[in-house]
Amino acid sequence: MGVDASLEESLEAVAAGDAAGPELAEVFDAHAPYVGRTLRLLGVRERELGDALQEVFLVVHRRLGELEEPSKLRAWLYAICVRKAMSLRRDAARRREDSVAEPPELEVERRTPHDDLEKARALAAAFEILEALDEDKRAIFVLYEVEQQPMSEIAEALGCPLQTAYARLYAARREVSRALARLKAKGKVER
Amino acid sequence: MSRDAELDAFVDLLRGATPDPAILADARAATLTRAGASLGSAGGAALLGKALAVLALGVGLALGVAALRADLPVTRGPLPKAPPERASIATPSSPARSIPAPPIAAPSIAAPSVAPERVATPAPAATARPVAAPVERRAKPADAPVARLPLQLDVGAVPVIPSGPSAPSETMAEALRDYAGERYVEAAVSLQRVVEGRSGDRADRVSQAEFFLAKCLYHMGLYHASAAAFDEVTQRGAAHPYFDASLTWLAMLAERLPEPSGVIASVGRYDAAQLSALDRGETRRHYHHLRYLLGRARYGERRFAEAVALLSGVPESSPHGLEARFFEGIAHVRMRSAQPALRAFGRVIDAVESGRTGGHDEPARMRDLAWMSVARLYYSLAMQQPSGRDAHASELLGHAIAAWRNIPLESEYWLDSFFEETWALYVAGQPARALGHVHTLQSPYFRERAHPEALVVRSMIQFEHCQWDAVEHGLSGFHARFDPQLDAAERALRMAQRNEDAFRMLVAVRAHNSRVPGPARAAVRAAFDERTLLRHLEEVRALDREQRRLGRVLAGSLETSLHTRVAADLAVLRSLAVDRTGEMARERLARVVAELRERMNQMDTIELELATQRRMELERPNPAPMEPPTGGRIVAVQGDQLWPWDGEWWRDELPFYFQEIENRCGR
Repeated sequence: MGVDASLEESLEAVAAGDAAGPELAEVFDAHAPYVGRTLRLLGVRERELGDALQEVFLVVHRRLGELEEPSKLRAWLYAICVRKAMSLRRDAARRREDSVAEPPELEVERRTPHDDLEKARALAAAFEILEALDEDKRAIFVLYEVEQQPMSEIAEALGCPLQTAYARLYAARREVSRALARLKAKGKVER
Repeated sequence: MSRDAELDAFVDLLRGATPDPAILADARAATLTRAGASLGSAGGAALLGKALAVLALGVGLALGVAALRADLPVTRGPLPKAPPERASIATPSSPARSIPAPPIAAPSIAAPSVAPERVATPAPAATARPVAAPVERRAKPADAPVARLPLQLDVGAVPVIPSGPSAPSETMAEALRDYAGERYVEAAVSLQRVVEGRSGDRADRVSQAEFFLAKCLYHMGLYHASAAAFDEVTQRGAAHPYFDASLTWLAMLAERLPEPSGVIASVGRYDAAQLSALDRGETRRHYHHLRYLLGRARYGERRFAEAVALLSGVPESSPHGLEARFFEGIAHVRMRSAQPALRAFGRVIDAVESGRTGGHDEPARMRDLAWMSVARLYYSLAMQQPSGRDAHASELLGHAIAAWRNIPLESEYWLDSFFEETWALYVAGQPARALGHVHTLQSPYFRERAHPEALVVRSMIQFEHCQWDAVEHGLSGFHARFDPQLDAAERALRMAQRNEDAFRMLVAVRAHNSRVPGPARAAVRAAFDERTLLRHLEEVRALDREQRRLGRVLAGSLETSLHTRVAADLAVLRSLAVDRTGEMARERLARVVAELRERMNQMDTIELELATQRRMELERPNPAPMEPPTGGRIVAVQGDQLWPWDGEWWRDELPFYFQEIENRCGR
């Protein structure tokens, strides 16, 4: 039995009132890579990632008992990530008002060995493209394309009709494709 | 590299953005520490309560968490479970038998309300059309309320300008001139500008532009886009001045689209009285079509009495008369009104047999469906008879069997009806004929459409006749054949977790190049070879064609907002169609798995009962000698001719096999 299945069973037992909740450590181990990747794709900077992860899982710790459908744990986690990322971006925007624009995040690239440099640069460019999407479109794009969650669950998690979710996905794909084309034209992305 | 491939590469890159393990490890340690601190503070500081506890964690975190808590969605409670597909109905008293009780009750064959999967299933209550394209395209309502415009029944080119409208802008006037001159592309480009509010027209003209844009798209052969545009009009209901005028166009669109469910959703926004305005002259044929569509809509909304009232008003002479009658019967079944249901099905059969098909393109199929529904209805009624009414139950079973037999061998429904008849024969106490049916179902003609349940029926009959060795032989044969199939089907189901994955599998299976594991391939192909599913697949293909057509029709207007809007609408419609089709495909795949598991469980039950019987045999003072599993002689009986089966199946003999079976109980 995989970690997820075991965790889901624990959560179901809690929902049924048969057991105490799973340990936070258990939830963290099962889902931290997913949460971390999601936060990154939602625009959380590498240097903020550790704190953001902590805060997401503290919310999980406090509210896990309210999750009535354990099978939708991932969508629930994603909703927390979205709000955390939005909150961080709002904070960042406020900070930017008081200071000059932040320098691009290249610390990782400078430290990266040569073999990984191209990938790190491409990833930085990819984050820039994602960053340019509206919140709504980015959420749909990340959940559907990257995390491959079913669209019906995404629509439910984000509280929008299925057709709106697809409309946003279409728009996001188009914007990403255009951005990729622009980058390619500038020679910034060579694949 | 193509654009799609670039997008795929982009997504792959993002999937690799998993955080550094060191960050995860640090965050884990810190989170657990802070969570522990949170618990300690909350427990120890009663007076200061949560405020102090939060302060202990730091003000920044408190603000963040509070912000999160403010609007965090709470997942809803579990959805109610769907009702079982087959209601559990008590097994009727079977003919007197001094035999062991059957280990498994005969099933109730699904009543026609849920059974005719190979007919166009009722559309869902509301199939939404995309209205939210990613471009701003609707002008904000202008100041004054708009007077309701008179009903516009013309379906031709000349627009009717209602009395008292505001003066059109130059853009709108030009659009109307282009429409009148049948320059639909030019008209549509201008109309889209009006709809977006770029022309300065007032609300009444914007509404008119919406309606004419939908008509232009129809004339341009962009039927899905047109349906989406009409959907926007009808969503506003009677508040839209062209709500009534859109009705005729919805009927015409339903004739053009392979899957009318979207149009049915739009038609469902009207009531019968609004339709009746079309019940005259040249619009009468649209009226009948719309009655049928509205009846389907009401059926989908489970408003069965209204559905019956609407459907019964569709005359035989209409091309939709046969389907209306059929759905009328189904609606009666859902209302548990057996006699009216039988009459409705009977009218379908009678009309087809008399050649009164109203121009329907598949009358024989409708007749076979009606026969199948009649059979299922009689069977269900027989199974519901209380004990003590065996004679009546037998009579009803006889009617059911007779109805199934009316479906000819060449019908696409023959195999399923033949299998269903097998159960009825078993329940009716005709084991030799039931076994003959099982024999037929195992023939190479139907290798692609295995009915594992037929083997369950055979094992049960053999069990009841105390043919222990034959049962054992059948059990091992069943497992040898279907264990690998179940395993493979489960793997296939795991490959189709998302609707989009299931859709891709469906396409690949249809193209004979799927990666479905070998042992399950035939079962999956059979599950996907189903009318409703294929109609939805055709809908996706039609959308693909329409997307290509859009490029051709608007070749000179690719940079216009009209192109952007229609392209977005079609893309979203396609995604929805893929999602819906994939969901249906996955449901069918899941049904294959569930069915196999259910048969496994039934066979396991038989195996347990067999072990019990074996033990009892051994405990008897004079146990019966072991005998080889003969299975009994098989003959084809046609009239007074009797042909022993010589190991080779003949197509014309398929419906006529009998297999003798000796009762060894009590020996």
